Parts: sequence; C-alpha cells; structure tokens
Amino acid sequence: MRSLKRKMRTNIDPAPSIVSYRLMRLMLIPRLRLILTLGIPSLVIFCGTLILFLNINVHENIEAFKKDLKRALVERPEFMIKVASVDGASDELAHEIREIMPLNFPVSYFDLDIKYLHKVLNDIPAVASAAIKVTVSGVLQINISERIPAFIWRKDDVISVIDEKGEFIRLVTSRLDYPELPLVVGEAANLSITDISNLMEDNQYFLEQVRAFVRVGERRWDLVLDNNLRIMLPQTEFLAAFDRLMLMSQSGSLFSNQLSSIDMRLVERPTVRVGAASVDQLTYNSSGDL
Amino acid sequence: MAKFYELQRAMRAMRQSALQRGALAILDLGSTKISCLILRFDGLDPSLASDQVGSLAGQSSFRVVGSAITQSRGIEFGEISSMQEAERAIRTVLQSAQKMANLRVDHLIACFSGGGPRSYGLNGNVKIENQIVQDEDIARVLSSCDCPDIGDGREILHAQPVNFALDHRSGLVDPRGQIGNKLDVDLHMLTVRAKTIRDLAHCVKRCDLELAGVASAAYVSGRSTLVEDEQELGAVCIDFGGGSTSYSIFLKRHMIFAGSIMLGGNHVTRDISLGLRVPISVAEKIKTKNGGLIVTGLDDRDLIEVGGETGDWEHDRRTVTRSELIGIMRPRLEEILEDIRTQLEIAGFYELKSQKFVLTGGTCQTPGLDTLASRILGQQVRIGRPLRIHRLPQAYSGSTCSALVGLALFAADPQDEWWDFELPSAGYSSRTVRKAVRWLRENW
Ligand SMILES: Nc1ncnc2c1ncn2[C@@H]1O[C@H](COP(=O)(O)OP(=O)(O)OP(=O)(O)O)[C@@H](O)[C@H]1O
Ligand SMILES: [Mg+2]
Repeated sequence: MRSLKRKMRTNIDPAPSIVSYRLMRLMLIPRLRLILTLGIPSLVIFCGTLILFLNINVHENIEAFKKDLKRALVERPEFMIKVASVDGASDELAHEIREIMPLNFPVSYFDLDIKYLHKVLNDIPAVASAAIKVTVSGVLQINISERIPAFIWRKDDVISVIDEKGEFIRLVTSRLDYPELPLVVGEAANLSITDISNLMEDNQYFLEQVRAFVRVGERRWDLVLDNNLRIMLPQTEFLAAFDRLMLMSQSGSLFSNQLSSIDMRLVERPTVRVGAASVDQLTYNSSGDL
Repeated sequence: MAKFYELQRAMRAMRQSALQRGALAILDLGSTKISCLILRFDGLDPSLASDQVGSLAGQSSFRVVGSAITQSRGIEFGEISSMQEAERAIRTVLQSAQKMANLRVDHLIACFSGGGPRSYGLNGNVKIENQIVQDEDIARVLSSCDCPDIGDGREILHAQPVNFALDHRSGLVDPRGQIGNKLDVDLHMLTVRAKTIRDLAHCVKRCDLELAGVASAAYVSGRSTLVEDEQELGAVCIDFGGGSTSYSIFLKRHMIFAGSIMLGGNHVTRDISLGLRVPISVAEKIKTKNGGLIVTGLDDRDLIEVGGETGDWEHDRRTVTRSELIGIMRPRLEEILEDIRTQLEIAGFYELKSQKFVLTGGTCQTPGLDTLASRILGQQVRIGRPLRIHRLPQAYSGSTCSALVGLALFAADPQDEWWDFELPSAGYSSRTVRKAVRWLRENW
C-alpha cells in the first residue's frame, strides 16, 4: 500500500492548489475583474496624486527622508576624512592655511567641495599652487608650493613682501622682518620687478650695496646705495646703462661718499652731482692743486 | 419512495438556474482520463440558424467554449477511490477548462461508469378519472409504480418512463390529451451505490461548484453514438472504458437496460505488463501502438521491441512477435465480450428484432475488436464515434470522448424522468426543493 502521508510523494501532481483555484475563479467574475484590474489601480493613482497636490508635507517628508537616507550613506566611517596634512608650506603658512580652510573635521568625502577648496587655497597670496588629494586612509593631503619672498616693497607706508615676479605675498609691519631682501620702493614697482631681477642676475656683488630700488614715475629705476648715492637709470636700455656705469666705476672710486647722484639717463652723457658737504672739500683740494 | 427524488429534484433546480446563467460545466469521470467541457447556452447561434441544416435537436442551443482533459487519479472502476486525489484531478480540469473558456461556471453535470449500476423495469397503472389524460394523471401513474427493494445504500440515478399504454394501446410516447380509462406505464430505473454519488458530490463541492445532475456513462455514450434509427429500433451501445465496460440498450428512443462489468482496457494493459514483464506505462504504449486481436500470418514475423530500462541488456533487448501480443490481449477482451453477451442474454436483448452493437470508448480502438465482437456478440457491429457538437475541439471527437459528448447532449436536453412530473398535491414542490437543499447541505 502506498503511504497515506502526502509528503512522501514527490510533487508531480499538476493540480492547482485550492487557493490558486479559488483566486482564478474570483478573477473570472467579470465585475470583480474589472474592479481589480482597472478600478483599484486608477483609484490608487487618483488618491496618490490628490494627496501629493493637497498636502505638500508629504513631499517635504519624502525629501527629508531622502536626505536622511543620503546622510546615513554619506556619513559612513569609510567615507569620512578625519585630518588634513599640509605639506610643502612653512609653518606660518601651514597655520594660515589651517585657519582659512572652510572645513570642520571630520567631514565626509561627499561633502568636500574640492574645487572650492582649491580655489580658496590658491587665493591665499603666499601660495603659488596647491594640489589636493584624499588618501584611502581618510587624510586630506594638501601639497603646497609656496611663493618665495624675493623683495620687500614699500609704497607710501605700506610694506609688503613680493616674489621675484612681483606677486604679492603678504604685508609686513617692518622692513626688518626680512632684512636680507632687497627693498623696492615706488608706485607700481611690483609690475616691473623683473627688471630688477634681470639686473641682479649679473651684479649680485655690487648690488649688496644697494639700499633700495626706487621706481620713479612708474617709468624708470633709481638705485639708492648705502651711502645715499642715487643712481638714476634710463627708462629704456637700462641694462646697457648699468653696464656702462660698471665700466666707469672700474677706473676710480666712483661710488665714493662725495657724489650725491649719478645720472645715467643719457647714456652718452653721464652726469654726476657732488654732495653739498663735499663741494667745499673739492674746491679746497683743487685750489691747492692748482 | 419520495426521498429518492429530493436529491434529483434539487439537481434539476440547479440545472435550471445554470441554464438561466447560460454556463454549465460537464465532467466525465473516467478511470483513465477525466475530461471536462464548458458549455455556453446563449440561444441560437445566428450562423447556425441560417444554415440549411437548421437547428439540430437541442444541440445548437449551446456551444463548447472550454475543454480540458487530464489523466485521472484516485478513480478506479469508474468510481472515486481516493477523495483527495480525485478532487485534485477534478480541480485540474476545471481550472484549465474555465481558464480556456474565460468564464466562471458554478454548476456541473457529471457522469461516471462505476457504482454497480442495476436496471429495473417497473410498471404501474392507474384509472383515469375524467377520461382525458392530463399531467397529473401521468404523475399519478408514475408514482403508482411499485418500487422494488433496490437494496441498502443505493440511489436512483435514472427513472425514465419508456412506454405508456392507454387501454391496451401500447407504445404511446405522450398520452396526454388522449381519451381512455386505464393508463399503464413502463418505467426504467437505474440505481447505483449512493456512496458513488455522494463522493462525487463532495468532490464537486470542494471545487466550489454545485452538482446539477448526474448520469450514467453508459446511457450518455449511447445518446451520443447511436444514430436515431438505432435508438428507435433497438441497439446496444458498449462503452469499452479503462476500468469498466458498460453497456446500455436503447429501444424506442429510450434506454431500457444498462449495466457494466468491472473489466476494461486497463486489465488488458495489466495482462500485457505481466505477460511481457514490462512496466504498465510501457505495456500501455505497446498496446496502443501494436495491439491487435486477429492473428494473420504476417504477425508471426512482426517483431515488437519490448524495451526496458533495467540495465540488463538481455532483458532490455527482448522482442516479441505481434501474435504473442495478440495472444495476451485476446483472451481478456474475449472474456469481456462474453461477459457482456451473458448479461445481454439475461437482459433479453437477443429477443429484440434489431440487434445492433455499437462499440465505443477508448479500448474499442484496438484493431480487430469489431471483428471479434461480431463473432461473439452478433452480426451487426460497428465502431461508434460521438456526434459532432458545435465547436467541439477535434481532440474530443474520438470514441474516447463519446461519454463526454453524450453528457453535453444530456445536459442540454435531458429526457423526462420520474421526478420531472409534479405530484398532484399542491404546494408540495417548493417545499420539497427547500427540503432537498437542506438535505444536501446537511449531508455534504
Ligand atoms: N488506440 C488505442 N488502442 C487500444 N486501446 C486504447 C487506445 N486508446 C486508448 N485505449 C485504452 O482505452 C482506455 C481508456 O478508455 P476511456 O478513456 O474510454 O476510459 P475511461 O472513460 O477513462 O474509463 P471508464 O469509462 O471505464 O471509467 C485505456 O485503457 C486505454 O488503454
Ligand atoms: Mg468512460
């Protein structure tokens, strides 16, 4: 005799279950089928749109819910950035960068606006360029290449540091903050600072004596030496003029204390002016000689 | 006596409401296959009405909209042997037929071949009071029949008046309106085991349908396969099924005798399976492909591969000659035919003038069965196929489905039965129906 228990048999019976059979018969009632296939879906759609339009709260709630969901995803520890490391900047600049950076750590990678951060960093005058990357371990790596202070520039009472291209780096309170840098003075001096750089390329030694480079009338340069001697260079071809001056200086102590200025504006006809104090001495000497 | 009719009356009421709704399922509960048709009753089809043929007797009032067939489970000898299995099988066909029809049906008429049908011939007579025969006279004469002891736990399946006689004028089809003094009736009654109907009704109920009628498979096969002449003059329809073979004798358009024997095609299959030592499924295949009943010289050389999957090469490569196969099949079918012959002899069929035999059912497709039958039963044997009904799928037009098609005809146009005539006492019927409904509810 075969087992009376059903479960002993493998399921080869094609018979529908009683539930599916009843369901089929329900669906064969024409009116019910119409209600189920047309009525209820359209009712649901109608009610749904009604609720959406009448009650904006639902919309807001959905938005809030979406936001929550997004936050939950975004704030997973895997995506969090805990620290920033600033490389290639002096301590002072690094400190400044940390102050200025618009971030509160820890911050999610998704909330990080790298472009904006990049812009902010590049807007710092002392920064020549900044590279930002996020490492896997959650560190915001900022690589800075700093502008190198090349000149002190004084204009009226404002003293600032600029680099060799004339780009502004920072304001300083006193000339003595950077005693080793040459001083540049005058309106718009930074715009033609390359002239000085070119000048200094070959005449490093001589220029040790220079106290200040003065831009005159936004046209030409004067060099003021330590002994108050003023060398006036022409507007054009000042390099040639300077070379000429150097040649001239080899034949005697041109830059002695007696002169108050050397005017090289007309290269063919350099003019010197003797200082007021030295005039007497000169007269005295010549009278004696003569 | 009346208690037998309550159920039948209730089912008639169901059938009526089914016709009103215009949808009815019919189910043939066979031992090898369960088949189902969904009928749609919606008046005359205009295309048919304009046809030259005109409306066929009752058949054009419906069309087949759904059909399904499945291998039967839980049914043996034409009756339910395992309720759960049978219920699932019935559900399978009902689901696929309703799906195909895309129509929900709530009523079902079923037929089965088992249940040990027994035929009784009853007669009754009554005096006509006011000369002219009227409806209540017919009801009275029907109820005057003395019911024999049909045995415990049996139910009347059919009780059809087959002949009326009015003052020695016999052979009246409808005596109403005629004048006479004494009305006689011959009634044919077919009983089956009540359990068979009850199980069937239970299964149908579990499928959420109402049983709107039951019929004997022998009777409905006869209705679909016998042509009018045969029904009129006398013929027997033998339905060779899987688990049983049933027959019904028709005379004057009425079934006058029916019976069945508990042998069928499945026994032939089992014999082959035993004789050739093959599984039942293989035996079935061999039987339908190579089976036969008449040996010719050629059959000795016709080798049939038995096949098999035991892994034993010798065993799997066996062949038998066709004559050997015939040698296995023939005795069983001879036995069936001889059994039927004895029963027909007892029923007195051989005293009828016309002795026609119409074979139908699945097993009658065995080649040579008609020849064998004509040797054993009588000369005039033919294979019967069911009548064409409107929109019946081609697959259902074979002789296996004659019971199904006959049931459709029966459902559309049932013969008058005893319970179709109201007893004269007024107010009886509605109460009866109500009582019957209650009885149905309580019992099932
Ligand atoms: N081509 C064929 N040749 C021989 N036998 C066949 C053929 N086709 C079907 N059969 C047999 O017919 C039988 C099935 O017949 P049918 O479908 O009429 O039975 P059923 O109605 O299910 O059973 P029953 O009426 O006894 O309850 C099976 O035994 C099958 O082996
Ligand atoms: Mg059958």
